[in-house]
Amino acid sequence: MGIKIALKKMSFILKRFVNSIFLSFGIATVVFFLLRILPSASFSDVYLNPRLSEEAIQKIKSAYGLDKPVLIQFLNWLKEIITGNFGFSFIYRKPVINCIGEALTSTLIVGIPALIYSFSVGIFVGIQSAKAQGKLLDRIMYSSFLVLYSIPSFWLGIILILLFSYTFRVFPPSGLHSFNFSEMSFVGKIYDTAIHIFLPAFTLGTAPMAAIARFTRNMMLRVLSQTYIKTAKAKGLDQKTIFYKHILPNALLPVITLFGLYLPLFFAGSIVVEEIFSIPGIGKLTVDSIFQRDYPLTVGITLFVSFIVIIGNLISDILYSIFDPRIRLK
Amino acid sequence: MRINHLFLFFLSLILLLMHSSCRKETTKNYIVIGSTIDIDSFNPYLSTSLFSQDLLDRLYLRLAIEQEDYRTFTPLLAKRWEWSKDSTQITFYLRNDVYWTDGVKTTAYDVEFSFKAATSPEVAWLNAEDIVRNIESVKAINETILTVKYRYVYPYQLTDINDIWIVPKHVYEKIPFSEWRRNGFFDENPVTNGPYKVARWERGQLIELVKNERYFDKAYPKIGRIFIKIVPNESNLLLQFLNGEIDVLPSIPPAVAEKYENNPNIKFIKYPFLAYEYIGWNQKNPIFADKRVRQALSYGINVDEIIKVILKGNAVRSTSPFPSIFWAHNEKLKPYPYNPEKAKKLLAEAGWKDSNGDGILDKIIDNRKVDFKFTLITNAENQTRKEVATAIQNDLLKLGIKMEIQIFEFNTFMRHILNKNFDAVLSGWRVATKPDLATVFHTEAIKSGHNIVSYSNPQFDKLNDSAAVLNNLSNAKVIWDKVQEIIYEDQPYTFLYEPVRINGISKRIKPETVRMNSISFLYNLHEWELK
Repeated sequence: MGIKIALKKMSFILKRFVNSIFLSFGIATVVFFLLRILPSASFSDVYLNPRLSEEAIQKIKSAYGLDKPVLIQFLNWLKEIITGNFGFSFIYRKPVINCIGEALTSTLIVGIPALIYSFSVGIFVGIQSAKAQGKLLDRIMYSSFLVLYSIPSFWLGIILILLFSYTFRVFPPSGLHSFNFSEMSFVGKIYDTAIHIFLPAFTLGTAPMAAIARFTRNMMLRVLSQTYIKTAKAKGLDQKTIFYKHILPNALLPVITLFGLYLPLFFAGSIVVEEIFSIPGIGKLTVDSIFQRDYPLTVGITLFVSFIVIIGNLISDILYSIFDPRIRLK
Repeated sequence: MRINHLFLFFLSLILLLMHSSCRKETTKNYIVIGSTIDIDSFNPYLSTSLFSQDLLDRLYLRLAIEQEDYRTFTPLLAKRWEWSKDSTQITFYLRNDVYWTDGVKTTAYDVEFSFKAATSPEVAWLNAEDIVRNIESVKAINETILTVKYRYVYPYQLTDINDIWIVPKHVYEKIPFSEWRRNGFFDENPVTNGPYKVARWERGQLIELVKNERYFDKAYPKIGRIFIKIVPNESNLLLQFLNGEIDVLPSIPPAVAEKYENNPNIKFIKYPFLAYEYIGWNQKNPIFADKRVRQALSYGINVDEIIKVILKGNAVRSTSPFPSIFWAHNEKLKPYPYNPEKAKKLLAEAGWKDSNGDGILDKIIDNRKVDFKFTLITNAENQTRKEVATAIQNDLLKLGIKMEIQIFEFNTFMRHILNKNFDAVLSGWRVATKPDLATVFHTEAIKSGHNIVSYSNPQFDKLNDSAAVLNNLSNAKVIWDKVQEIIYEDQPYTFLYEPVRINGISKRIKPETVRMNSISFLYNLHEWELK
């Protein structure tokens, strides 16, 4: 019986996984053709220079394969994907997959702490707020969730820099590490990285943190009003048992689904945060590739990010089914 | 209780961090240059941004150094040069003591190879066209002697040959020209021969330049280590400059410079830039075909006020396509004064009257009553232009002219300009150091050039062609003056202003050692000194 369910789950996951590949590929295809409709050259500077000859422009286009019909370009792109290169970046002059690989490391160094921060702090303060329901503390917390959620990250980022890098020189204002990083000891390197990612991770994680806190609070309150909690109280169970055994698991279950929903938020947020704090991650790569009309790179990033987002959703579905036996994967 | 512990923990953490940040205040023997963009390539033939070229000029030696008058050159890689009797050939005698960073000597063969690269259509270098048209051949006689043969005699023979970037043949020839644009090889370990060499490049983060121990002049560079810190966000960059984390900040907006003028820790260096901002009137549009209308528009825009209010005085009025610091500029031309009465008179002469009393001028064109209404386009990236456009809108409304403003993203903007799909455009040109008006005003440039306003005046064409080939610059200047008078009279553009570039340096740098100019803001970086 157990094996049968496990197999069913496996085949479901596999099906969803294959689906995600096709879905993200479809998204990338749409972006591929959309980019070709844009009114622009592959390099803006090429057209700016009054002295570049028509022949030279043609040569540049042919060097990047842009002189061919769009359909042929599309087929070439498919070929690149099958070979695993995901195309060749114009501006970086190397395979797109390498560009993404390098940028992903930087994004994750900031993104993972931000994710941990937003979920741990979000859930923690959400619970505190629910516990203090109706009291002044709850009201203060609840309205600050709203405020924090509404603060645009480009503003928050600059204010944090102004406060913690300019007025009090506590955290460095930009970059991932100091100039003399390579000369540092191992502990020094960790410390250096930690102080560099503090502000960007905080900026990136704050809005999701507020949303998670609000969501957690609401879930908590919903569970508190359930009849089984009343039953538990009537049974004479002590507060701790009621809280940890009955309230918490039921309230936090829906919070898990947020993980999948918030993954795209982190990638979108990284576009702004990486620009402010000068972090050479996926967000900055996206912006650069779009502004410099590096088609293969833009399409490659789209393919990659949409895949990650879809997989994120899949993971949260799976987590949900594991934690809540009532939910069946269909 | 638990919350209190947490609070104490964070407090101690913050104190710890504050403590450690105080420690950092040691004397620095390097400077940090701030930039919003990264270098695009260490191969100068693939690089397109001006910022990159400013840096590359510190890494690769040219034959000679272009002086601030844009006409004379002093020796660099070439110790001296000789002209042939008929002036169609120059023989360069190169230094014998210049080495690439990998220990190989820089020779005339490198220059010969570089010429091949510069003129190869496969490389498709941005500045190739003039070189291809004017220079017949570059030949190395031996390691130190180089002859350059020109197709004809013209005034900018030295300028053109000096435009060529000299790259190491033994390294660059490893990759065929056709592969250059698809190969990251050139960015991995740049082999250079200037006062600085590349020690580190972390893409999008920083570039570290250090003293090139093999540089022929052992007295330079004075500052042995330069960091270029890349921060795309301008506000963050500015804060770091004010904070002393960045020592050099190029291109500061006038309003910002005005605000921090009295900050004792920084100094602003202002200098005129070889560029001008203009409004181009599309003369294919019947409204702007009449030169009296274009003159009226120039009289009707209060440029002095724009310079005072929007640019905080950091600009010079422009009168001609040659900026006022350029030797070919005609100094007799005075800017069109703000004179709305005269503008109205000229418009009336051209047939524009407010016949229906709606406050907007109108005229019968092709049996149809047309209102004086048009759209001015500009690009979204330039905040100053957006403000200037609004000021112009107000000025013209006083004359009874209704101007709409449309703002485009840069690439879309360029597409509109190049397709001549606009009424009026607010834009700017950076001016080449050799006088060339043909690319923007010649009749032939309407079809295949950048005469975006479709200006055509046979008299201009004739004079321009005769001036461009004159070898004696004083004689040429006389004709250039006349050419500018024609443009001044015709007003194909309304010339607005020549921007003043504002760069900031920190008090750590001796300001008297710094020279910044339109050629480069790092013009003499190797001579800069720390206090």
